[in-house]
Amino acid sequence: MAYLGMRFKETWAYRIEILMWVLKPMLQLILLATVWRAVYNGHSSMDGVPLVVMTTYVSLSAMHTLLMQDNMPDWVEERVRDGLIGADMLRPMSLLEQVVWGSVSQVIMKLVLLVFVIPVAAIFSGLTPPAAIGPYLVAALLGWMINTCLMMLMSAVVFWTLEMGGMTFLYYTISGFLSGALVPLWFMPGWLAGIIGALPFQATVYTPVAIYVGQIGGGAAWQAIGVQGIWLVLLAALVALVWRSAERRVVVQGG
Amino acid sequence: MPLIETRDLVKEFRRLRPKQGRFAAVRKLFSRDYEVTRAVDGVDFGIAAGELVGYLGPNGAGKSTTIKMLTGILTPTSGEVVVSGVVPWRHRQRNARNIGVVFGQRTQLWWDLPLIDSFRLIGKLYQVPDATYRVNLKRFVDLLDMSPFVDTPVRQLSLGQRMRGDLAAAMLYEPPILYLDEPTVGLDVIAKERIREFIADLNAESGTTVILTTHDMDDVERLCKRLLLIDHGKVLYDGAVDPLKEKYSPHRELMVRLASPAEVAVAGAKVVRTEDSRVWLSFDPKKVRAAALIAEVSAAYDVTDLSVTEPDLEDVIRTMYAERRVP
Repeated sequence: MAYLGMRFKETWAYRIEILMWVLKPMLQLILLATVWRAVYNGHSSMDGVPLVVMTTYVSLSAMHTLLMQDNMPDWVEERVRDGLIGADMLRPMSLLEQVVWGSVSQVIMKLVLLVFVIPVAAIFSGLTPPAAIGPYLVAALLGWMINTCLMMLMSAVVFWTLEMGGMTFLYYTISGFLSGALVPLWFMPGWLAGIIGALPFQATVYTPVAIYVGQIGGGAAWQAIGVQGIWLVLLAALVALVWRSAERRVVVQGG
Repeated sequence: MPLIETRDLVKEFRRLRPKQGRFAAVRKLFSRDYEVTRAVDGVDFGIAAGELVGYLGPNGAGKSTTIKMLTGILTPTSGEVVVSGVVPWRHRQRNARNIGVVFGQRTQLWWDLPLIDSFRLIGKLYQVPDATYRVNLKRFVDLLDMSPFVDTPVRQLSLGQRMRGDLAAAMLYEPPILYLDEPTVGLDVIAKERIREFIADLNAESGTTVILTTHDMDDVERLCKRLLLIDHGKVLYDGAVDPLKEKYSPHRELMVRLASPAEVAVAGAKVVRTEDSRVWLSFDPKKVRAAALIAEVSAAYDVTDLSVTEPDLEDVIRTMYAERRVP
């Protein structure tokens, strides 16, 4: 807990960065809502999806994306490149725990920031109330955990290559699309939706947000949550495996 | 039984040959093109509780790599290492509680937060009882004169201040072992002296076992009774300081500045270097007394300035290099 507190304090050290974290989702949801309004072109519904559901979907997915884009890969890369990872490994706490607490501290900080984002979303997109609050919260939590696992897998690459070389950017671009944060799965062609459905990314954003707007409802919601659960177990096991071997082969840079 | 023991310790680094051009990072990920270097090559030593040992060697000799294996953050390629009954790399967190570590070249403090926050967290992480924490904190703040800057974010501290902070952080939880990796690098004379005093105190009063790597011969002269000299990953010398210096660097140097350039020739000394009006003479103090030599040179030549230099660690290492033999 003390460690979490420390990491949380750290997140507030740079004011400008925090401002960016608030502005980015605001801009994203305003733009996306505008684009979808233009796409609907005066129609109140398309393929059985009402406009307000669509704008709620994009606003909410912008907020989920905000909660999930944390600086973990940068942090790990910086620590490994500068050899600071040595100092982290000298603490009586596993590296894995430290990284997870870092993510938790970021998500808490961003939940606080949402206070500023939600009113903007309400004004621009006309947020609807959740179709099912319970399943949504469960799915949102699981989605965040799956995302953390994915980030940890990607961050671990640094232990082998000692650099990310733009991989973080590539990851965000690809996962932004595959998670359904930009375009919901129901608007994608069948074959693409099939591929995406077989990947873990859609479980991070699409599943909770689609449950929120009611596109996945009733029994299907719990089924989707079950799929999330399976992904979480698989990915968590993979993370444990990869990070253990990463710690064994770590090269602490510098003399 | 020694507190710290290594047996035939080896660390090899396999490094991917760097790639150039597009997507270098991605291509490197799938590359199998390695080059192997042996940073530590069969190191054996035992260090008893309460010793203060200087671990020396030129840059790239394998000092830091050894220290990293002792701390558990590097896994040895082969050989054994046991620190206070614990194999560091296997039980890193248990080992962490027994040791304090200070790397002179980088900090373990939280960069963006006030120094005191780092101390508080370390107290919590190592489960130091509140009373002990307060006593230790006060002691270190006084000893290292840190009260003017404990509330300053670490990134704003001077190197000397940060170093003192790092030392205090490493000792707050009273570990019986302290590893110092170049703790005085880049510090001014006063800061160096303060840190040496602190280390000497810890060793004398708390009986802390200290391993110190440094390039500063003054650190060694002031602090260490025993030296471990390493080069190319192998131990070249393990023993007391004075015999080493006598063996490898018996000479002193006398520099004289002459009013006008001249060929200098004096008995018992050899000219090693001449630069404009300055001349460097090497002599063996066991054969020629410095005072006698100075008198002789002054009598024979018009000397405007002079100085005598002691051999330093670099000389010792240079001599050892030149001779290339294991004592």
